[in-house]
Amino acid sequence: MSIRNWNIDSQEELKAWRDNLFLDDTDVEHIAQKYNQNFEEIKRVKEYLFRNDDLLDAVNAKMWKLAKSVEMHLSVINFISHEIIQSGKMQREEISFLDTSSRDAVWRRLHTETLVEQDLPPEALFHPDVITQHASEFSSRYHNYWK
Amino acid sequence: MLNKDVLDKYVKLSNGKVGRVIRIRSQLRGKVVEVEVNPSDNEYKYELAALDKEQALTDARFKNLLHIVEVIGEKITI
Repeated sequence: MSIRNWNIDSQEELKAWRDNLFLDDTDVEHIAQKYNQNFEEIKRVKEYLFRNDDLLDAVNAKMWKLAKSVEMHLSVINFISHEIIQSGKMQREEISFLDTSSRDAVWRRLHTETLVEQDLPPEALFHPDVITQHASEFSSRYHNYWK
Repeated sequence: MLNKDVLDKYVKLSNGKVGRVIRIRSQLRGKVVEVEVNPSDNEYKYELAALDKEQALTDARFKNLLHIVEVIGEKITI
């Protein structure tokens, strides 16, 4: 069991964390530099993952916190790359990140296409500590992937 | 339904497809499941569905989501 203290486990903590996140873009600068990515693409990923209230999810927030941290893990590289590709596809189709139902309508196509382009299974996108912390949200194949 | 009632289980979705629940997303709007299906040509491998059928049918935030019609079990029996 992980001993990480994320401080974003309740809905109130998650919303407060998100609101604080958008006060500046120091996280975007840091992640872009750390993972050798374009600032604007990381900024787009931040908007894609966290601007829409309906889709806020503690799992994504914890992956973002890991991306901001000093740690390096393959899952975070996979996660960031996945979200860059997928959010870019959605932007090119002119779907607003705030439009929940339109996002849902195209997700299965864009998600499948993105994983094929990355040549990755979905379980490669999440850090083992995040999977452990959210054990009841991930199937057995996620739990077994990093072992 | 609880997470443990569907996670790793095969389910039938409202579009008639059958697949295995590989992940449950706890979003602020409610729980959404990711289901891996066996796609035929021109179909996609992953589907999103609401965990709560009532929410899928009545909540505008779930307008374009499927819902779970039936939990089949651990394996598909033909």
